[in-house]
Amino acid sequence: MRNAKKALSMLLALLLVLALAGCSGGETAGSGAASGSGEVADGVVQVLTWANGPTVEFLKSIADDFHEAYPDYTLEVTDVPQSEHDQVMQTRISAGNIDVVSFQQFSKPQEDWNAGSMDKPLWQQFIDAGQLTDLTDEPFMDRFVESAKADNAYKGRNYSMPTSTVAYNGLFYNKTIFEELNLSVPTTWDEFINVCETIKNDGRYSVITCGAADQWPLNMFATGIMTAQFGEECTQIGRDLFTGDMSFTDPKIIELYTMMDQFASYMEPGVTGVTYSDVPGRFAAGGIAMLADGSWQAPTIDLAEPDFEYGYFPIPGKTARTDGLAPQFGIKYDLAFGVPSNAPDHDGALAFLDFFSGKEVYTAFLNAVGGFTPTQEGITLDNEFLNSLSDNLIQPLVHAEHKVYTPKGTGEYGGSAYGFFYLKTLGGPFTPEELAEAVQQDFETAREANASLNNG
Amino acid sequence: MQAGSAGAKGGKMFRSRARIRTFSLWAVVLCMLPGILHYLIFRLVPSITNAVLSFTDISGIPGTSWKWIGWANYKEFFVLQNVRDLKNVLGRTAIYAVTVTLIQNGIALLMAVILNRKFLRGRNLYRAVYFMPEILGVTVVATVWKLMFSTPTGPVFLLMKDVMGIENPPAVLSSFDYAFPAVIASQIWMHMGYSLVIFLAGLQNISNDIYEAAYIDGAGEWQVFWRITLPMIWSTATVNTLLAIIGSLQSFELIMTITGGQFNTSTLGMMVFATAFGGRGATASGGSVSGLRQGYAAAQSMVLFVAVFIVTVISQVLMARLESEQ
Amino acid sequence: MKKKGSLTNIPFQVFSYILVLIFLLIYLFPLFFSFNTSIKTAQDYVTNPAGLTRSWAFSNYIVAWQRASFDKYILNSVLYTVVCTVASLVLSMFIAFPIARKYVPFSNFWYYLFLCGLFLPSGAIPLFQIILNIGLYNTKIGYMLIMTGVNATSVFFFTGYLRSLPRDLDEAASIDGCGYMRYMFTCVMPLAKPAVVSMGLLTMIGIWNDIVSSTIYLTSESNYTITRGLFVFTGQYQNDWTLMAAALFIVAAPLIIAYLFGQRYIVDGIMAGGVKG
Repeated sequence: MRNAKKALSMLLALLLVLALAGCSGGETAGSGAASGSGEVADGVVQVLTWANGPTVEFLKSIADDFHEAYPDYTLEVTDVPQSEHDQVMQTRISAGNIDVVSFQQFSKPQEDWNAGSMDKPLWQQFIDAGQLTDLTDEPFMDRFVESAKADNAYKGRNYSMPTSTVAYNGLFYNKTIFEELNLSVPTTWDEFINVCETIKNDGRYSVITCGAADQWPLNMFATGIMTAQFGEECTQIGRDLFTGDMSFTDPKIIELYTMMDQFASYMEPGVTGVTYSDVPGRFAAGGIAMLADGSWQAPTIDLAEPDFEYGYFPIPGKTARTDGLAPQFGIKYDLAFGVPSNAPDHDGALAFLDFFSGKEVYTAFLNAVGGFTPTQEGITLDNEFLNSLSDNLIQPLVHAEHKVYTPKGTGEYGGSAYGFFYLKTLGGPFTPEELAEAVQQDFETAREANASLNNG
Repeated sequence: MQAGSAGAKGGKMFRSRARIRTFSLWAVVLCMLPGILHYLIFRLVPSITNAVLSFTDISGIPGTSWKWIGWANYKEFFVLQNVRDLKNVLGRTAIYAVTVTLIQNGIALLMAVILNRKFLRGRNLYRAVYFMPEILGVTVVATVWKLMFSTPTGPVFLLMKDVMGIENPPAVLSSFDYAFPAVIASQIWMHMGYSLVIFLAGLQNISNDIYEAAYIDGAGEWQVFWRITLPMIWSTATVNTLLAIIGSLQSFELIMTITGGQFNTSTLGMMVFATAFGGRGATASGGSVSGLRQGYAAAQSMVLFVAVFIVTVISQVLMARLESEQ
Repeated sequence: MKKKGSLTNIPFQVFSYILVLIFLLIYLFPLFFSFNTSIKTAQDYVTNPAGLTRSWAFSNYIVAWQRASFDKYILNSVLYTVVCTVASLVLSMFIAFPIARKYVPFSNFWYYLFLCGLFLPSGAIPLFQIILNIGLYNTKIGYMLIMTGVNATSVFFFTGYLRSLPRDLDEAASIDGCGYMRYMFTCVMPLAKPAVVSMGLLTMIGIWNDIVSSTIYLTSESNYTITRGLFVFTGQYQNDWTLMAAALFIVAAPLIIAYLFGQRYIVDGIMAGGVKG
């Protein structure tokens, strides 16, 4: 049956090509010497990742070294914009012509407690369909720290190699301004508010900027503050909010919204119009005291103004830590490699992962990319900025972004980051209390719709 | 070239079966065949299959099984989504189509009438400039307007602040109130030239003698427009309306590239695209549909298809009725 | 023809000129502003985003060309655009002519069948499967098959235009013993030149600027289109506006040139088509 279908479509296509060539005076004939379909092992290890300048450049730069280390294989790197990445990954796995694919953190799987109102994320669908290779027992996985493996494991197995993390509930600060105003890096929320007040009252500088026009850079601070405020508790709170065991009108969540509102009130005027690509330059120009952004932005700030002096600190929660540690960053695993089960050069793909995670290449990778922190023990970087973060990365927290769930069909207020953008302070319609109410409403409506759909 | 209308009439006259056959039917059909086959294989078959897939839970992940799920995808679209947001999206889609169609054609008609006048010098230059965005393509147009609207340093912002004296000008592209009008304006800016050219073509089919006679009789510009121009290019206007409605209902590229569907700018067309690509903006509430559910994506595209079809039919009936009233 | 200026009142003329110039500004300024951005260094853009360029960084164009590896892709794009445009036009013409002349049975059926293409959902998912199963995924031929097609708009405008061509010609040609193919290529298409050029331009734009299909169907660098080169300027975490703008203008340049040559045909080409037949 299948072959018959294939033969028929083949025939149709052949007919068409012939007809095309015949009727249009040979204009299409012979123009497209078809290149290999890539479905057989050809010694070319094909890597797919999303467009991210430094990473892609680095991957391309190690092609020769890889070929030297593994003479049987060569490396070919393809990058596509993030918005089209998932679709391309899926089509290329369907076509069986990709050897190494890229993922972000494997977070928020569909589980028993949320299955009724949540679909499986893409990564989980791939694993459940047997499309990703189990890497757990590969020797190169031993190079990675246990926490990194545990944070990305699915049913106790690892299907991806988490190459690095990024810290992203932090603020870059202008050291010159901080020194001038006699400010030190805050370790509690109240200290942070004091810092903001001092800068505001001084009047010469804008307090905080952010690439808010792109929405996600500001949204990640809603969950960023949540990370700082609730720490490990985020996992439970995220679940309870999803299931309805906790209401958004709970005093704890209202307090969170109030903190978000306070944070927003120190943003520079018109912040929602500032595009993300402009912020490094604006911050490095020196008129703004703090930039709310992820650690990956450091190289771009350096690029905008090489002599600019800045630091990076995690936004603190209301209660100081009791274990004497400085506030810890919320992190996510940024670039994780996986190997499709149908990879034409399966062994080559594993060879590439082995090559990439070897100490030398791995260190070079982190040095080249600049904003990513290691997931292997004992890596010494020559990057001053990354090394300066070490006190805040002793017990990093998984960022709450990977712990907040939304039921399928949740309205826009309850959407990403619990509706941060709908605060009056940011030009939206709600006070913190009203927003909590609206989000709660959207969650309840969605839960009811899911329940009624599941029941019939 | 007045032959256009004459030829069309001629076609009707010659409709009788008894006319001479000029070329062998075989040759004619044989040459149509590649086009028909190509259309069948690469356009019709996928499109019909798409309709079939909308009743399955196919995911597009190789190695997963799929099954028939009846209307579940459609139910999910209409029942599961937040009703308030779904209404907003559908409303926005309608506003987008109506305002784009009306304003784009209104401006195009006005400019066409002016550019059709012989006294105007450099008419071809103006026409060429107005048509330019169509040539440049969506990516360029989107980038151009993102630069224009950028805050707080873009020209539009500076115009509002320094020239018009608005104290706190809004960040247009990230404002819940102004982002959508801005996207509409970009769409009109991009496609006005196309409508203009079609109108110009229609106007050139009107004989100059009619105008001259009218002017000699002392008719004003306004009268001439209502009494002569508009009735005579009504069929052109119908074509333009059709193209603008379909274009604006299906369009997602500009919205996608300018705002990504955020800040209340998402439309049905944009949702369909976002679902297929697993991006944000795939639900009425701006969220994403996880895991590239192709069955659901197919259902969404069918909803859009039906919407486009209904609106087109209604608009064509409306245009025809207006014509007969004249 | 008599002079017609005298027949138009002066206030209307003034009004016309003002309107035309306002719109000229609305169309030219954004383009000029973007071009101005494309010739700024990154530094200049950060410190002086709205002002006139101070750096005159025409080198952006060279840098953008190299960064985007346009030299590797441009020949592919030219190949795809030429082949697909020509093929689409020929296919559409061969469909439109018999319909316009009613040389085939059920010509109305065919007309509306092809017009349906305006509405039909794209069916991207099944299309991908078809291409994959006939083994044309990631091949130049496969991509060209997708980008070619009997375009509904072309059929619509061609049919309209062809109806305006005198029918006597067909008869004369067939009496002289001119074959159908030859007649189409040597007579009909040259006569329909305005329609062919304007539809050709529109088809070309779609193919040259395509990003979505090329991203999905082409995976080897040797098959990439020029638009794929633009990806280097869109990062996960950053955008590079000045180089991006320069690259966009580079990509648009061939179309602009083609347009300058073809634009005088555009109105005439659409002319008869716009009049409902």
